[in-house]
Amino acid sequence: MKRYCDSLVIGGGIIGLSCGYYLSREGFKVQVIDSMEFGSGSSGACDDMILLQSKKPGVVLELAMESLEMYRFLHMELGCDLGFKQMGGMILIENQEELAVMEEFVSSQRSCGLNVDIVDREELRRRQPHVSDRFISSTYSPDDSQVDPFLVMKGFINAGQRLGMEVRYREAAVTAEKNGAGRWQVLTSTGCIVEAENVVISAGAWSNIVGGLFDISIPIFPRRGQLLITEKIPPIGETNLWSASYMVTKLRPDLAKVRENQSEYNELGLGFSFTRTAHGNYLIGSTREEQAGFKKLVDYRALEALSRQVAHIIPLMRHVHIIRHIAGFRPATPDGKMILGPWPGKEGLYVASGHEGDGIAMAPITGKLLSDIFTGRKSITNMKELIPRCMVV
Amino acid sequence: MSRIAEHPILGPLKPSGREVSILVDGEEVIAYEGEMIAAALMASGRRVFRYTEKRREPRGLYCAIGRCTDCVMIVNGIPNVRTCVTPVEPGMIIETQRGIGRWGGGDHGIH
Ligand SMILES: Cc1cc2nc3c(=O)[nH]c(=O)nc-3n(C[C@H](O)[C@H](O)[C@H](O)COP(=O)(O)OP(=O)(O)OC[C@H]3O[C@@H](n4cnc5c(N)ncnc54)[C@H](O)[C@@H]3O)c2cc1C
Ligand code: FES
Repeated sequence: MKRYCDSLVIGGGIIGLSCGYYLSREGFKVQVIDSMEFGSGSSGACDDMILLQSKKPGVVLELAMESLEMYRFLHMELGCDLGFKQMGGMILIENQEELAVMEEFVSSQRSCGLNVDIVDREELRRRQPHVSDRFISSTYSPDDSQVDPFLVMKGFINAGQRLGMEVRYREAAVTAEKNGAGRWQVLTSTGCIVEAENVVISAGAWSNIVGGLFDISIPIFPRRGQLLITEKIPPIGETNLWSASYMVTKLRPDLAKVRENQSEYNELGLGFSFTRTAHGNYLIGSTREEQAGFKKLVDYRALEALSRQVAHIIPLMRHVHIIRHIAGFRPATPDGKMILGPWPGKEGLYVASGHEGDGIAMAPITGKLLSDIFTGRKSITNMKELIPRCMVV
Repeated sequence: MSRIAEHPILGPLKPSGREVSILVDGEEVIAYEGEMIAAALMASGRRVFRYTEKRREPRGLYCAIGRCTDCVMIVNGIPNVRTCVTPVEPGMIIETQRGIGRWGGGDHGIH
């Protein structure tokens, strides 16, 4: 059997669906295929944050701010609730060294127009009465927001389908070649050949495997993240929470504190995030593991480390039950920036992937920018840093 | 107090702990130390332990083995405590839980 379309999108996570939707909106005939089920990839195993505060000034922060603006109105355009909420966020600061690093970081973000501040101990207590006394201050941004990734994916599918987009799960791309007329012929696992003018690879952490079908090597690799989900509980504090220690380690490796169980800590890549879902469950994250490959497993070590960490920061959490423990694969790149644009030397082949820990936040802007590239519209954003680039993995 | 005085399998009632007093929605209830909170509440004639989140329906003891979470109450300021598997301690403060409940004040002294 053979099918025809203008654009074949390979990978139906939040990024592929956003690309599919925005391309359909421009009048392209789009088909999205995904080897697994709805939400099987990282987009179904992650936190739900549109977090601006964690970003260094630069293209990533600018795009995240644009994406947040798009999310504010996206529910109207897609015609359904997306669980968008703006609870704000605080990054907890434990000592003077961290405070110095965060003060500098926050002032650089402010100069880019981000609405963020450092608050003192009293304001921290007032907004977060359950956080341990150990913390001396914190950042605060009212803009940090969240969405329900499943509702966003459903929204893109339904609105896309109204524009003629087709979405098929349990259909993997298996081989790819060009025919005499220069159109892609992609054989899928259902024995179908999809003929398309353009192909978009948005297979998340699996993008490099799909790239192999096109004889290209995309510098994207899986970085496993495990997180815990609690039962529904009454709100703990006014905002969502992170801790500065992980960010300080990234910004100033020389200040990284040496811990008792340092090697385990490094292997797990433990960071702290604490966010309330629309239903009242909390997501407690997360690990960033390099060595796990594609093993979609959770382990006791992470369960213990994540539980210990949250009880240390919010002692009250000792009394709360964990009801789920999940793992997902962040699509990571060596330089921490997504890859978006045409692949050099392969006409009609595009990559939109590598969002690592920000794919939910960046979904609308990614699809929008890709559709700008397709239509030749000039984007305001400086895209140079994102176009496919050779990097040593 | 209504307790099973002569159980067909467990035999005659032989309370293991001393009598202690706990507060249930502000009323004093006498319980045996170490028995499960739910047992003390049932013995005192209480059947409704909480009200559901969406439809505000009454719930009480269901599985009685800690699996279903139907019996949860606010105990010493902590919501979602399964009363069927949580032993009585002297002076415990127990409240009917409405929906997801609320955090109480105090030192959350439950272990
Ligand atoms: C613990 C954790 C916490 C996170 N927290 C956040 C957060 O708070 N905010 C945020 O913005 N981001 C967060 N992320 C990151 C976010 O989940 C990802 O960036 C995002 O989901 C990536 O979306 P995607 O569509 O690129 O990938 P995926 O959702 O993984 O989709 C890729 C799809 O490609 C399919 N596929 C693979 N191979 C093939 C093939 N051969 N043919 C067809 N289809 C194929 C897969 O089945 C999969 O469905 C988190 C991630 C983790 C793991
Ligand atoms: S009655 Fe089922 S958990 Fe207590």
